Formats: sequence, C-alpha cells, structure tokens
Amino acid sequence: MENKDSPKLFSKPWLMAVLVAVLFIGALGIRLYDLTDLPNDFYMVRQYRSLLIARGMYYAHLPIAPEWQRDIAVAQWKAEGLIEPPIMESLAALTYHIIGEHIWVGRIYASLFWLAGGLAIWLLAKELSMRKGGIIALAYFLFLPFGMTASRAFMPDSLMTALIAWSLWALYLWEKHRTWKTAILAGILTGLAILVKSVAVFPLLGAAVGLVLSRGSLKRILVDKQTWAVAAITTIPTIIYYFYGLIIAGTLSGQFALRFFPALLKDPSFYGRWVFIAAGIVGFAAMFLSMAGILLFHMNGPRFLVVGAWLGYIVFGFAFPFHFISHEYYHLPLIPIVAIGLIPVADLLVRQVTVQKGWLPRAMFAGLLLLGVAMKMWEARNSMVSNQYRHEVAYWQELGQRIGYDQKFVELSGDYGYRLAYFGWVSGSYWLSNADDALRTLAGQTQSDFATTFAEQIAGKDLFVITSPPEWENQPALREYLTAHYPLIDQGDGYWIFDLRTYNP
Amino acid sequence: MRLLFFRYFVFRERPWVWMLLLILALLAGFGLRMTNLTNPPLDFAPTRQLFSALKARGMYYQYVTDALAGKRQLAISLGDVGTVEPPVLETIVSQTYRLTGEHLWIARVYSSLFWVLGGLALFLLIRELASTSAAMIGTLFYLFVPFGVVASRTFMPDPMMVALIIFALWALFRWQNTASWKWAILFGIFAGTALFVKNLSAFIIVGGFAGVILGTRGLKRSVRDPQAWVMALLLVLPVGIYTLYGVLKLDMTGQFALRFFPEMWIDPAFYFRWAWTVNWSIGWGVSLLAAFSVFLSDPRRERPLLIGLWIGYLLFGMTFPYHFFTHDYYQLSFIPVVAVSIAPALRLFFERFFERSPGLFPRLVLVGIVLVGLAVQSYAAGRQIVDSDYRNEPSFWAEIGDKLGHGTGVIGLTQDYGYRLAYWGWQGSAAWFTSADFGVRYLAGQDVNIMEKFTEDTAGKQYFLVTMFGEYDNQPVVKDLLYTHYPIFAQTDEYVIFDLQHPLNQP
Repeated sequence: MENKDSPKLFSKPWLMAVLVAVLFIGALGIRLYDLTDLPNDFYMVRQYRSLLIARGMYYAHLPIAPEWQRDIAVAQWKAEGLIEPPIMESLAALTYHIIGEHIWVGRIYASLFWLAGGLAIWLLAKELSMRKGGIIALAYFLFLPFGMTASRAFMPDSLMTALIAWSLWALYLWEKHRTWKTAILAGILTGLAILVKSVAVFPLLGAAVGLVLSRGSLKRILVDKQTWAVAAITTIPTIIYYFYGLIIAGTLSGQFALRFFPALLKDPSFYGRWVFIAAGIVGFAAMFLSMAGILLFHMNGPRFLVVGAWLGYIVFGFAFPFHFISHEYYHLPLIPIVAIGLIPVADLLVRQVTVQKGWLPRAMFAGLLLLGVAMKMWEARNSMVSNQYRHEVAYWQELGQRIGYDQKFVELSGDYGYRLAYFGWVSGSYWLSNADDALRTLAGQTQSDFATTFAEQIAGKDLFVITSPPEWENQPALREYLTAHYPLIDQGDGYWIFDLRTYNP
Repeated sequence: MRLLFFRYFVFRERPWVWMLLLILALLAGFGLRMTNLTNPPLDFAPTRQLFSALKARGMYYQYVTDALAGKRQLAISLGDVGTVEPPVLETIVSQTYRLTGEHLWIARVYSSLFWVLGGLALFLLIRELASTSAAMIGTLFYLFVPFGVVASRTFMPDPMMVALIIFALWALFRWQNTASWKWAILFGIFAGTALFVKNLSAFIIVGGFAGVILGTRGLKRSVRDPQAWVMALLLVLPVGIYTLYGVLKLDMTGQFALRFFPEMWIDPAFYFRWAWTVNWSIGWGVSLLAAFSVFLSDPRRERPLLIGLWIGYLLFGMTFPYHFFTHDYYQLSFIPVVAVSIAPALRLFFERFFERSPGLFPRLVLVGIVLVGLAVQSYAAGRQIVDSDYRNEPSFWAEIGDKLGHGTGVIGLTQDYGYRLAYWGWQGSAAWFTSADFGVRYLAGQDVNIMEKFTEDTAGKQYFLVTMFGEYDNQPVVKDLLYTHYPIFAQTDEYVIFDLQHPLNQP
C-alpha cells in the first residue's frame, strides 16, 4: 500500500512523471537509433515477410507504379501464406501511402507498440499501489537488451507483447473493480492480443484462469456472468479470423505444419536449453527475483494472475518445444510477465530506500536506475553500430537484374529468398536448406531421394540460383549434380546461377 | 511425513539445519569445481596459471633427487619465471607434489578448497550482518556464480586471496561489534595474510577497514584505540616486509610497470567497458541490486563497512583501468562484495516474505525457485568447464620441445609468452611481443621500433617459433622478415620454426 507519508521525491507527482517520461524518451530514442539500417539484425526472414506483404498492399493501390512492378509486388504479397492477421503490415502500407515506402516504417510502429506496453506495466503497478516498484519494472521492460532488439522488428510480436501487458492490466483492473465496463475492456484487450498473434493465448489464458481461480469458490465463478462475457469477447475475434483463414480463404492451414514435436519433450537437454534461453533473454537475476516477487504480492488476485501467466508460458513451451529452443522471440511474452513479477520486490526495496532521511539514498536510487538504463542503451547502441547492412541493397538489386524479372527459378538461399525478393524484385521457388531437411526429419517426414526432388523442383524452371555459400558447401549432392549437368552462366560474390534449360548429360 | 519434516525442521530457525544446509552447499560448490579436474589449466587466464605451474614445478624439482640431472636443472631454470607475488600457493602445491608426485590438478583442488572455505566465512559474516536466510542466499551466490566457479579452480593466488579477504571482513565486522582483542588480532592476521598472498586485496580490505574506522567507530576514538593500531600494523607488516625485500633483492620493480593509465579515466568508453566486464562476469542486475541494497542497510552498523568495500573496489578499478577489463580475474574480489551487499535487500525480502507467506506452500515454492536458480547456474558453470578440453595440448608442446632440443636460443610468438612450451615442451624461450603487448606500450607512450626490436631480440637466438598464426598475420613486418630472410627448420599446419642461424640473406 502507498504510504501516506511518502517521501518527498515521490510525493510530488511531477517528479515521478519526469522520471517516467525520461524512461520513455530514452526507450524511443534508442529504438530509433540506426533507424534506416536494414532489418537483418533480428529474424530477418520474418521481418522481410512483413515487408513484402506491406509493399504488396501498398502497390495494389498505387496507380503510379509501373504495371510490372505492381504485379510483382502483389504477387509476392499473395504468395505469403496467412499466419496472423496482417495488422502491422496494413498499418505500414497505409503509412506508405502518406509518406512513401520506407523500410523503417514497420520499425517505428513496432517500437511505439512496445513503449505502449511499457505504459501498461506502469499503469498496472499504479493499480497495485506500487508505483515505486513500477518504475523499476518499467525500466526493465523498456531497456532489457533482448527487448530493445526484438521490439524494433517488423513483426507482430511487439504489438502482441504490448497487448499481453495491456490485457494483464485490464484483467487486474476487472478483478479490482468487477464492473461490466472493466470486464468488457479485459475481454476486448485479451481478444485483440490473441488475434494479433494466437500464441498470446497461452499466457493470457493462464493469467485469466489464475485470476478467476483466485476468487476461491468454483460455484461463484461459474455463475458469474461477467466471467462468461470476458471469455466470449476474448474468443470471438480469433474464432472469426480462424473461420475466415481455414474455411473461407483456406490459406491458414499451412501454419500448423512443422510446429509440434512432442519427441523433444522426452529429451532432458530440451529443458536445460529452454531455461537457458529464457534466462538469457529475460536476465537470470530478473527472472528469479520476479519469481520470488510473486510471493510478495499482498493479495491473491495479482499473485494468481502472474502464476497463471507463468504456467501458460510453460504450457506454451510444451506445445512448441522446437520453436522454443530455436526461435528466441517465442519467449517475448515472458518479458511482461517477469516485469510484473518484479513490481512487488522492487517496490519493497525502493520504498525502504526512499523513506530514509536525507537526499543521498534517493539520489542514489535515481542515479543507479539511470546508470543501469544508460549501460543497457550503450550496449544496444554498440550492437547496432557494429552491425551495418545498408550495403546489401545494391547487391540484391543487381542480382535481381542479373536473374531477370521474367525468369522462373529455383533458389537455394539462407533467408528463403526474401532479400532477393524484396530488393531484387524476383522470387523463385525454394530449395530446402539443410536446416529445413533436419526439421522435416525431426517431424518424422520421409524425404524423397535427390533425383526425384530435383526433377520435381526444376520442372518448368529456367535457372537455379544459389545465394548462400554455406548451404552450397553443405549440399554436396546438389552441388555436384548442378556442376556436372548444367552450365554455370553467372557467378559472383556469394552467388551462382545455373541455366536449367541446357542439360549436359 | 515429508510435510512434517519440512514444517518442523527446515523452516524453523534451527542452527543445525542451517549448518547442514551450509555444509551441503559448500560440498556441492566444491564438487562442482572438481568437474573435469585433470583438464590442463588453460580454460582461464592460462598465462597466469602456467606461471604458477612452472614455478611450483621448479620448486618441486629442487627436492627431486632421482630425476636426471639435466631435467632437474631444466625444471628449476624454467621455474625461474620472475616474482609477482610471494609464491604461497606454489609452495603449498610443490610440497604436495613431494607426497603425490607432480599433478597440475592439485592446485585446482587447493584453490577450490580455499574458495569454498571463503564461503563459510561469508555465511558467518552475512549472518552477523543481516540474517541466516540472507546469509544462505548470499553464500549460494558466491559459490555458484558461473564466473566465480570457473575462476576459483585455477592455479592462481586469487581464490586464496578472496577467501582471506572474506575471513578478514568477517573478523573486522566481529571486531566492530565486539571490540575484542581476539577479533582485532584475527583481522590483522587474515588481512595481513591476504595482502601478503596478493597485494591487490588491499583495496577491498583497506576500504572495509576505513569504512568501519571512519563510519562506525569514529576516527578520534580509533586513533586512541590500541586495537586499531595493532590491526593496521598486522595488516601492513607482512606485505611491507615482503615488498621491501622484493624491491631490494628480487628485482620486483618490473611488476609496477605498465599498470597505471590515468588517461583512461577521461575516456567514457573505459567506464562502459568496466560495466560490461561486471555484467558478463558477475551480472549487471545483481550488481545494481547490490549497490542499491547498500542503502537498505543500517546506516550506523552496516553501511560504513559496505560503503568502504564499494569505494575500495572503485579505487581498485581506477588504479588499474587497463587491467580491469583485460584481466577479468581482477573482478574476483568483487564477488564477495556483491554477496555481502545484497544481504540487506535479502533480509528485507525475507522479513516481508515470512510476514506475508506464513504457510508451508509458499516456502516450498521459494525453496524450489532457489534450487532451480542453483541448477541453472551450476549447469552454466559446468558447461563452461566441460566444453573446454585441452588434453591434446601437452603432447603438441612436447613434440615442439623435442624438435627444438630443449636448449637455449629460442624466441617465439607462441601462446602464453612461451609458458605452454616451457611447461609441456620443457623448452625455454624468449617471448616475441604480441599486438596487445605493442598496444599496451603505445598506450603508455612508449615508441617501439619493430626492426630494432627484432634485431635485438633475435641476437644470438637459434630458432624463431610461431604457433599463433592470427598474431603472426597481425604483424606483417615480422612475417615478411622471417619468410624472406630465414629458412624454415620445421613446419606443420600448427607451427613453423625458422632457423635464425642460417639466414638466406641479411635482413
């Protein structure tokens, strides 16, 4: 509970507001640093996919674009299967219509969404009457190194994470006030989060179940109309979307393939890697402090809310074991959960320091907070400066021209051909990489022999383009076969182009 | 039955339960450090470890009467690697060799033992300062932080130094609270021994001592207190005598060179690198929590000591700005500082926890969280220890040593200034500068003419050995010089030996 005799630093609302504002400005600033660099620093396949979709949407309604370019842009957009509703992409496309196409638009939206998530963490702390702890939790959420990188990515995950934070805030608000208004708000925000990316269902369902169970009586829970209303509002958007995706459009079914690998659950090393990745992302100290923090909540509501979210996250890991140890961004929902768990511990400690007499303890608190933030910003800045990708644009553009916009080709690449498609305006069919082969083997799929696969893949194609030297090196059968039977018509720094129209027996 | 056990034994403040848990923790910490025991000591600060290994072997061979005369003499001469600190650990190890034979892992056992014993003192210190629960967590942090695990099983004086620092701080705090002669003398003995083992311990110990004298006892009172004078005298006496002896007799002046770079103080990058080093070695989160926690301590009883420790650490970093991020083991003494400093925060946490969670279940959950945390840290440390395998190194260096003939007249651009060659190859060599060596001299304002240095260093030498090809590529002048003017005596993918005695043409 907030003390009546709060120390001066925090009894003046504007001082607290200044501190919060400084954190938000710093968080935005570091995310906008090196803004115009290519999005190769974090899961570029996923980001270029969004870029292609956004560009296709934009070009579809761009009358001044050359027809060939519009056709290609739209075709590249349509070729991307449906995974989540293209909300971020639509926003970016709309913005392109106002300011023109810029690769950094998605980055700005993602960053702003993350900051909005921070606001939810802060508001939740306020609702818990733990504003002092909220400052630390907010700083953690905004300046966690992994979060700083991931939240600049043109992917739905930043928006999803923010909406998870907002949903947790709304769920708690509902629990606290138990009004229809708060119930509907909780339902809408939770439903939106799940709509943006369906995996949000795991922590949010866990949190909601935890919260409801904290009320104790099962009978009371079952007869509570608000609970049913929240559940209904939450599920409606996703049900509509899945109905559209699976039944009407029919393109959503692909996203369920190669996702479930229950065999991994029997492997003890899976759990070690999971804990390691999770602790590496959210920070070892923060993770365990946050867990311990759950025990300090003075009410069952928030306690069960966070425990439920944790359990949901664990179930999420069991459902997607392969992705949990290969796709770091699958752990993003853990960041708001850990941040919320930090609130009571931080509040306890900060409150104790700030009640002390004299300005030194409070100045030390502010100083240490800003030092910690500055260090993390410096780390992020260094990483951005040391990784520059702008030079790649010309490379892929030139390669696209060399291939020719009208050519049909098979591509062996390290990024599913996304950079060539985006900058080079050419898209080929994809030759499986070694990692893809391994994934299919793990899923128990049987692979066709090389000759059959090769014949199927090159049917009707003009060229075979290789843009990944490591893959080229690691696929000796393909390398030997292509070299032996097809003329190499072009070769440059990191690429090889074979003419499939001329077969040398 | 199990529930009854937890309810009545684990969560009651029964000293024997805590002692049992502490013993288990210390044993587990020691056991973890025994993993991959016989791996050659190249996983952490190999130059420093081999320095001690050579020294210990040289000492041991002075007692080996049944060795071939040449070998014995060679061991003694290769062990003459100079003096940095008093060879305390080397003496203990060499004396143990006399009982067990020469095994490099003996040093690992001693260092690990010292570190773990330091955990015992740390527990007692934090228990006195905060609470038993806080002491347990602080000790677990000290025992299982991965950087500490890896660094505390090394053949270096640092683990022993850290342990002695902790014992000294414990005695200091006991003295602060009791003002008895017993603790004053014990502090003097522990602190004096710590400084003797490695004088860099002075920063933390003197910092803590000054904190207690100025903040708790008061300067006026302390000046009139004979106990304080005895403590100070015991603190400086051994290291004072040794340093005087070293400067006058052992030519130790060299160890003071290339250490102080005050111009780095005005470079912001230095502070960020410092913080980065702290982050990866100990953890930024826990370090910030520790700093913050100082202000949760009792202003009169606890805070002076803690502030003294932090100021000591900061002065340590300012005094050795270059070494603070090039020599990560300089951070070792910061581990107990962090462990002690988080104690007030832990005390507050446990007070609130016990108040809000009186039931058994939350306590079991907390135990579970601590155990998972320990498992993760142990796994991280264990992986680092197991993943680095250097067992192929001894035979590699033995082969080169045989090729070079174990005589004099070798200069090399080889790992660890030629210590690997000396230890496993039984071949002494002069070390040609690495780029880092050139760099530190440029930083100190020295000008090094490579051609002149090459001529000077190779004068009278028979062979130039290269095993560090990355370094070799970084020094194109030397590379060109050797390939153009000297024939290759022997060569594999892993080494090249140039014959300096029969140049192809005059350089």
